[in-house]
Amino acid sequence: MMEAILGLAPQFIQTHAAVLVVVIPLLGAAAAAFSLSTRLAWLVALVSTAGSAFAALVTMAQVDAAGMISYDLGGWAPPVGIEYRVDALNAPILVLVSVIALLCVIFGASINAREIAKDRRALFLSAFLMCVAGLLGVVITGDAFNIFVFLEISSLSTYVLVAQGAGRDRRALSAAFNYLILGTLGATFFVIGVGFLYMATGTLNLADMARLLAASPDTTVVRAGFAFILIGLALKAALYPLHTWLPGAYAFAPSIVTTFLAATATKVSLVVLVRFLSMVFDPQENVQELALTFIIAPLAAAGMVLGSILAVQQNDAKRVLAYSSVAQVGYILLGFAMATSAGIAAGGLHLFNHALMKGALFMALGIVALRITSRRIPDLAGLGTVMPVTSAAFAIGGLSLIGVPLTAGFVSKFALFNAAFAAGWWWAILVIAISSVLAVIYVGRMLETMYVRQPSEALRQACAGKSPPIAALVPLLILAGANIWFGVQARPLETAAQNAAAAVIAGPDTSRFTGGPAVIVGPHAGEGRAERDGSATDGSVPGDTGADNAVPGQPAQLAQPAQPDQATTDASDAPATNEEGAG
Amino acid sequence: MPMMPDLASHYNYYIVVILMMIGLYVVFASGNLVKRLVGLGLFQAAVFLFYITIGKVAGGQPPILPEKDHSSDHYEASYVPGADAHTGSHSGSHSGHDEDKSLPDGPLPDGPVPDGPVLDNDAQATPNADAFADTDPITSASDQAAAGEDITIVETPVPQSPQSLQAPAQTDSHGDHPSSQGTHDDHTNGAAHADNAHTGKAHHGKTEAAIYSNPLPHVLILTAIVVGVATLSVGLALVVRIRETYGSIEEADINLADHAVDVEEASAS
Repeated sequence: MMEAILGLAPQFIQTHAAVLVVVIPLLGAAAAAFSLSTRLAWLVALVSTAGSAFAALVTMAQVDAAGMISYDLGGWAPPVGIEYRVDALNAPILVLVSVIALLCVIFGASINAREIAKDRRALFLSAFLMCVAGLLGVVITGDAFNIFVFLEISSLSTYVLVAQGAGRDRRALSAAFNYLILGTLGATFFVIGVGFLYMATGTLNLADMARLLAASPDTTVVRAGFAFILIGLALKAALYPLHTWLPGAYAFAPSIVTTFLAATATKVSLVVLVRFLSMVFDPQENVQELALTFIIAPLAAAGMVLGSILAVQQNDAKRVLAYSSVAQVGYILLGFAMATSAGIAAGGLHLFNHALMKGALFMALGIVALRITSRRIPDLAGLGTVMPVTSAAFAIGGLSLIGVPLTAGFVSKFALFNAAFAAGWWWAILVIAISSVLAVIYVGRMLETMYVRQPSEALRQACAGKSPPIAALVPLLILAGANIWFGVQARPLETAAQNAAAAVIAGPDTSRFTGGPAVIVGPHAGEGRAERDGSATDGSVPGDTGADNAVPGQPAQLAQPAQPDQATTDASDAPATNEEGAG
Repeated sequence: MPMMPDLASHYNYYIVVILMMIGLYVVFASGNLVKRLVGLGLFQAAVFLFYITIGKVAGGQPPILPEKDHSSDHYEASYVPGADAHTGSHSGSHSGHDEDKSLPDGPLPDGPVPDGPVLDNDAQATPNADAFADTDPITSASDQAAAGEDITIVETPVPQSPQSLQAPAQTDSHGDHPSSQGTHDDHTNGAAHADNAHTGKAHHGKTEAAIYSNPLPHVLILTAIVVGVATLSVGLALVVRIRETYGSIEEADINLADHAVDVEEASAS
């Protein structure tokens, strides 16, 4: 399938796929902002997200073939220039974000009409596209300060998008303001950390930083940088107790915004966090290891339990799911904190699956919101009778959240269990079990309300004879179907997760900074700028150079002596690859 | 006490930290939305100072290349410290070159110049180097020193070369880590080429070296300032909307109003 995708793409797209992923939504945002009609703006949004998704697929195909893509913006070679780096960790996330953006745009075709004022819809879509571009940029860039820039691009658009919910509930405004304050604090902490790292290494390129830090890893400056970056990204990822912005932002934002944010915003920060934790800093180093074991892991566990408890107490369906997201972030970070190949793979798997789950759940709630304005759980009584398709999709998402076998959620939770078992983290297993039970409680409560109770008269009348709009139904069914599909056909995702974990543990490929030949250098823009690092690259298609030195998932030469955990990796790999039971 | 020397030489970092904490405190403790934004701005200003202080070189000029002297291939020596009388003179080849001719010839010192050979232009051998040293041999050890623009001209040695190589003392380096001032250049600002020039001695009329502050943190801070302005404007727009909707910009009033809605929702079951 990958070759077919590559075959579809014209040469220009193949050469510049990495940058097109980000540039297309950016240009689309400008185009949408100046669109004369909302229809046109929606079309622009559709085309932009579709183009970006296609470019992301092309990139993933290229990474499959070549192991890593490196794209120098403007042809300037790093560390002077900004480099986009796509590897096994990035590529699936790019596809995830862009495809979910596409689905959200399609979903919004009919939903937006209810939630956003007509004269603002074009600008709304423009801000949405900016958010997409920002999130994609955060994932794809290999330059630390560029991460900050894209993070702020996406965050600023997010604040605006969340505030658009004020049309229906004015609490969206205070939620958006709160999010702005906390989000800016987080990003500023991140940039302070980058400043410390720049002081210590003199470079902003992540791979180069990794190489230089390997030489002098444990000075006070590096530790300070690590701490600031950790806190900043943890705030953006909504790790407990830095999660307080999330429930308000999710609950009061418009449906398409909530769906998109829940599925992508925190995931992107988590990907960057794992990239910094493992690929820039060495997780074997004292401070980083201590932080992982004694700060991230306990906070993740606390988030899992406390987030689930708070979810149980909520009365608003969207808030339940929002607190559940806080708990799921805890799951993901628990997997990452183990720093074993199986743990990182499990965390990455859950990251992907959670996007699918929450996407389906919030989309279903968005359709429900078309019929009834209240989000309180008792008001959803009997939904299974009057809105069968939507409720079925919601139920699938809910069961996936719990982790019922045959759903994607089961695959990732099982992987997490296995990884914790292999790493010897018994307390983690206990915590996962407790929070799963709590998930049964809050999801079960909603499902019981929807299916067992009788619908009220008002609800019956609101839904009488109406079926959900096609534009909203199709993405919902796609996401719900994906939950089932990836629950049954777990292999591709598991392999992708394991490749990602291998790439993370192996560390970034720094051969182009140690004077060696440039590693799989993907496309260059090469407009008149000559290479500075002496590498013999000439903008050749990755397929050609792919044969030279790439083993998929394994960077060619490593200047950084990253050691995968000796003792635990071997033991943990076996259970991870033996989980046939998941299928 | 070991603290005191730190205070004297690192006072700028203390200022950064103090400002940062004041800003954070204002954000958290203030009950007024606009004041919270102001605190946020203060916090960000502290970060700007942090970056600027990293890049500052004692005696360093703003990293701006002077006008190119059209009568020759060389750049003006307009920004030479000690040649202040001639700064800004464009056609002033006379002012620059007069001082050049008094420079001694000499081969380039091989030792201290780091991996920079890629940077050497042909002009390196010329005595009238209205030239700007581009690499600091001590602090850029770990860098490839790949400049963005191909205009760097390595300067000829100055008589006091042993002392001039004491340049690290001028840079804001710290004792416990090699603060290699990288030549990483943001591609949006393609101008900067110079690392800290190292020949500090403003030998009046004898040296053509100019000392620049590290341009990269300047670039980063410009970006961060823009981001800060954008954040402030979105925040203030939100405050305007909040004022219209709630009638107040005091946190307490808004929370009370929100809480009332929450209670009402919960009790309506």
